[in-house]
Amino acid sequence: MSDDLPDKFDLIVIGTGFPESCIAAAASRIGKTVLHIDPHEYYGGVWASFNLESFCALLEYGNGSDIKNTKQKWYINEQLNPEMGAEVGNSNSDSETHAMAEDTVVRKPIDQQWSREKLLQQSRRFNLDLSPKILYSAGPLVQLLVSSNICRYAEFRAVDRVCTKFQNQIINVPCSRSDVFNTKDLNIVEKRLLMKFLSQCLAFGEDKTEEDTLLYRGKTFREYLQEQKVTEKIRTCVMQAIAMSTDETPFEVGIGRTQQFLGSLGRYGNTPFLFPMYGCGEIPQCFCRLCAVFGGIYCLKRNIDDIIVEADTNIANVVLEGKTIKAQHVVSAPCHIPTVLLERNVGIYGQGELVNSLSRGIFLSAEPLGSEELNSGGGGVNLLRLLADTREAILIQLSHFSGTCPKGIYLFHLTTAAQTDQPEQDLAPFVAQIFNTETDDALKLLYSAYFTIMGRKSTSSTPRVDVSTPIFCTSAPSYELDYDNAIINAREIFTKLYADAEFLPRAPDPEEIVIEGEDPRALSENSLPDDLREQLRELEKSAEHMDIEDTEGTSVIEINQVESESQQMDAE
Amino acid sequence: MATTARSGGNASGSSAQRPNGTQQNKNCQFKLVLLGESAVGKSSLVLRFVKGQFHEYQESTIGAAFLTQTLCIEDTVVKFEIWDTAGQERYHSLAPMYYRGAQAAIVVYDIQNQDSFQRAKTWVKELHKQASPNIVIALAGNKADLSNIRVVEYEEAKQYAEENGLLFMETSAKTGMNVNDIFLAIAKKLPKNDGANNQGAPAGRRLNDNENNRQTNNCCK
Repeated sequence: MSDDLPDKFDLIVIGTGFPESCIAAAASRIGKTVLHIDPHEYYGGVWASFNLESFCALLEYGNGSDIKNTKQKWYINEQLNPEMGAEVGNSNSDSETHAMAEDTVVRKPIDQQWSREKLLQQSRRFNLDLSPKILYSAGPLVQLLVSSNICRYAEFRAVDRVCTKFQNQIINVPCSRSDVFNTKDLNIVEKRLLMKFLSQCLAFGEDKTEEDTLLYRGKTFREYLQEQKVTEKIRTCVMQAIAMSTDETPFEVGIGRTQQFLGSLGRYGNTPFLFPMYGCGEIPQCFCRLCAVFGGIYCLKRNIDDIIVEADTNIANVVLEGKTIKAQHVVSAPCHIPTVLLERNVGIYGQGELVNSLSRGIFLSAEPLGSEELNSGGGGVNLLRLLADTREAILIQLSHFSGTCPKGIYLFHLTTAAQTDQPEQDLAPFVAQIFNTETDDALKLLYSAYFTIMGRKSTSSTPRVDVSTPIFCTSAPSYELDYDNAIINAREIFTKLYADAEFLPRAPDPEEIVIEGEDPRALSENSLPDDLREQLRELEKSAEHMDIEDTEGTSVIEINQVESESQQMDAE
Repeated sequence: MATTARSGGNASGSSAQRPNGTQQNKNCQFKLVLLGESAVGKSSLVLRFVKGQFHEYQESTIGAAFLTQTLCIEDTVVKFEIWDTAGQERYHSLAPMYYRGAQAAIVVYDIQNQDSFQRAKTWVKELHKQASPNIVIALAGNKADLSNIRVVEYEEAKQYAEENGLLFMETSAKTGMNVNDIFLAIAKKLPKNDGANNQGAPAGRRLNDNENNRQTNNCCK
């Protein structure tokens, strides 16, 4: 199949993760010839999402070069009938988990019961993200999607609620003005304080000489908050959910994040955040589609044997399953750089040592987290940032409204920066905060999975990198809420490749595409202009069972140019 | 909530009552995807339908995210958002996002090419596997202007289509034969009432939907 591929490209991109897809799209957009390959048979690499069956298989398979330390556990029986109880497959289930499953049965009506079989039957309704993200409505990814017009390919759901943990309770963080006034979690004094504080944050920095600015330079955001005479509850809301800060976060950073939060409000929903429908795995695919629309060639499931750089011309020869293809430049995901190439110690831009990047947990439950009020309307997408000592984690709760799990199931993504090669241990302090099994009202889990996402320490200044190297390595996902670093990474590499070119200029809207020699009148050749409706009604009757062939020649179509749509409607 | 003010994706049927009491046209928008082997004339079909044009030596991709075309059926304005594969099918690398939220598909084969017909059957299977269960599928035997050198018999394809619940027509992007008709047939088969709106599928929103009418209810302004 590789045989009919052209043997020369401007750019070969290996891996279809977010930064690679971004670079592929940007290069294709400015007219470069791009070959985009992925050794996997799916799009997205460590940024992909999977249905339940594929996800379980991926974890079962275990240690790839990009995902390691996998572990999964079912807390429910294979089949609905509890007597059946036979454990098969990779299960680690023990008697304790049986007890939990039975407990769920007691607590919940019969229609709430789940079995492994029943969940797997709905496998396709799951889109389980390896690297889930939440987007600021005015953040860098949304800006990029809108400015490049790639947003046309995807749909989003506004995050329904931003939550925080306060005195062992999960509370809603009021985001909009009406939220602040309607919330029962704050008293009237707190509401006024919060409004005043946020107004102040928004205005902050407008006047650089302002006293406050000088006063808090070098201090932490927490110190600043303490001096604002806000209550403990407001401080928690602001620190944990609005300014996304810890005790050590510098004042300027905290203010910056608060402003980012406030600046993203009122755009798409009640909160300042968005989540991509069907999961974040859609995002790289959107960029790939743009690349393809501008002529990029896509080949999944192709292995790279080697990359040989011609010493005199600096052209990269990519050996793709025996066939050599030349490219001016090669961009690769960290995990797909051929081992033989690494062993030769070739300078690769951006490539550093292999590290544990993210510790991830994925949990399924039949119940949402927190009070009924927090999940009104069936849940949606809730965001909860958790703190434990100096560490933090992001919890995303997804309901079927996000297109990532079936109805009746809640999907939880827990992400923290990897500390060790034991993701379960890294996440334990956060898991204890949310799925506390000690208490009676603890959430009953159906399934849990842990894994580590591997990365390479991004080192653009690795000493042995020759400035003229044609091989560039992208970064694996880092611990961040949005895609800020990933976009910076893609942009940086793109600039190294094509210094003066614009990064993803706006692609045209469909309405703007005019093909040479276009004659709008040609549209009406098949349409009968008069009394369209009546004839259509007749047609409808005769074509009750869609015997299309019979209606041939009598069918009536009126095709309107999009521009005339509104006039046409008015005329009705 | 995200479910208001959306336009893309699922059949967003809406019928607004005007102040003077007259019923305004219902507007529906549908995503339609094209599938089929390379060079069977997928892009040509779209181009004929949307622009009324045919180019003998059509470039394999036409550099568009998707094209749109509007049809009128009774009191309903049906807007098709037509997605072409952009060549991603060539090395069996079509992204799953291509099928997302698609309410209709046209699977195209070339009547002079038996392989392309077999491949079309594979695409139909793929659609049943990947796409929404309610998707309306049409099978188009293209290049019908060359029926004197056909390889795939009309009856054979028609029977296959009937067995699999597909709409079927032989089309010619070159002459325009049945091109509008196949889109119209699909438009008529698609559910356009609000009741059929969700069909259990979740709804999202496009980012550029409200670029123009952005609210400014920033909590501190």
